[in-house]
Amino acid sequence: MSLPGFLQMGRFSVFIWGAYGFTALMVFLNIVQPLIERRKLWKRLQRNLDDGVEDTHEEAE
Amino acid sequence: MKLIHKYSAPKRFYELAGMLAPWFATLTALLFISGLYLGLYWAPPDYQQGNAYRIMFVHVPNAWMSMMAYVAMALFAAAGYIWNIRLADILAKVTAPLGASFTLTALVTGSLWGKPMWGTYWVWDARLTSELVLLFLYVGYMALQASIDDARRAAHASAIIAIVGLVNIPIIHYSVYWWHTLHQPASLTLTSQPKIYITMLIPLIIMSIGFMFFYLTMLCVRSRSEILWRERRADWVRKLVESRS
Amino acid sequence: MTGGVLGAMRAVFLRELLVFWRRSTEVMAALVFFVIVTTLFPLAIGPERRELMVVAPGVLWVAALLATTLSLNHLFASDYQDGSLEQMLMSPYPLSAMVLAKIAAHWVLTGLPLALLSPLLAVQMALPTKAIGTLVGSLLLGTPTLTLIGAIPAALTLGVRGGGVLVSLLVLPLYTPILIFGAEAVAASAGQGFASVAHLSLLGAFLALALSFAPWASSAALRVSLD
Repeated sequence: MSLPGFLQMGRFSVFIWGAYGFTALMVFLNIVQPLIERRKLWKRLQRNLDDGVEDTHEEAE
Repeated sequence: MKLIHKYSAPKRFYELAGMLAPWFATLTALLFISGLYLGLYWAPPDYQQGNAYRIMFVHVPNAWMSMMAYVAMALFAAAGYIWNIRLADILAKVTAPLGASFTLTALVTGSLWGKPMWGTYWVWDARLTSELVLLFLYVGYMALQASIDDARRAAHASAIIAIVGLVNIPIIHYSVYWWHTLHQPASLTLTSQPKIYITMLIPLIIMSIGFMFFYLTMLCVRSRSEILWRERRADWVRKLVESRS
Repeated sequence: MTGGVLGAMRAVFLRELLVFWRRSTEVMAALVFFVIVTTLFPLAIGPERRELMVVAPGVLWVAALLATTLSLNHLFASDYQDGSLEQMLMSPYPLSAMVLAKIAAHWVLTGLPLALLSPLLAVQMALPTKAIGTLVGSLLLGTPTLTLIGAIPAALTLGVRGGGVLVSLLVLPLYTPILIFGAEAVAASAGQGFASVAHLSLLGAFLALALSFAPWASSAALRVSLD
């Protein structure tokens, strides 16, 4: 099968690639969002350490 | 039991999850690549649905995972509530957004599958409807979690709602199913596909296992961040941060 | 001992009736809401009786469900503010029994009048006369279940910001089975489906299930909130 033929997928290419595209997007977001959050968290933890002050923003256990 | 005890200490779990995450990620990638190859290229078109049935390989795993994640979330939450295991609270909390995203994906891909099959994007199909209710349950859980500041109270309160939801899910599912059969001829469901061939089953199973490992990978990553934040006053976290900077 | 529990439950029940009665505007608000919402539908759909008849069971049930949801915020809120919930926690009797008495009183003042008022609105919605009995019956069986289930999120969101909306968000997905069978029972006896006895008995089964489960769960929720 040629690449254009593969991409065409018969009559329903829009729906098939739409479904796969959305799934890929969700997987991507699920990977990126925690990584961004982790980066922010590290920065915050480091800042806390440098300042030597407790972060009183939220009460921990 | 001893093993559970050993690794349920946040610090130990942090290390364990850090060790496991790359392996899970690799496995997920391999499963996804082979599943996509088999599902999109190797499996022949269906004689009735043409290529549209290939949406199944992303829709069905996500629908399965959406339910499994809810069960996992409720069980983690229950363990955290009953035995006061902080790690279980954390696992329940980080499972919720993952489960909600599986549910959303199942809904969107389901309606994209519905358009070529039914001619419309949305049909009040029993499965899609209970998937929608499941999404509402996830959203409620996350909203409750987010609106309570105290970590312990947030965990316990949302644990109760998760358990109540878990008890209700079978009732919701069967009543929606019954409601649907009453109002519509059964020929319109996604379940009434022709026959599932082995060429469909293999990619389906591989993709499902892939999504399960994807969940496990993200569970590790997310719970590590959550542990760091909650334990930020512990010595081991301070040392860790110092060694990084 | 059981006599003691029953006596305490009765005391809570009567006290609640009195307290709710004094704040009768809040009680009335749910009822008025029910009336107004069902009045809005003919205005939106049009006065055509045949069209109204088709949507009547659904409209009446959804309106009843929303009215109950609205009233949930008053179930524990004032007791939480004035500290009498904590007193209840200290009492020697099981908290779930006290909670059950509270829920019963709340239902008597919200769900019961709602069910009794519904024939009037049914006429407004052009529901056939033969279905009115089923409507009242389904509401009598269904609204206590709604209040019982709703007590759990109501207890969980005490003192939480955005509590009111949060209660609806948490409780509405859980209400779907009751809505389905309640509206279906009315539609069935209006002559659009099967016999309504099966639906009513399922509503009864939900009520039994909720009675055994909800007081316990909402007292656990109260303990979390008051911790």
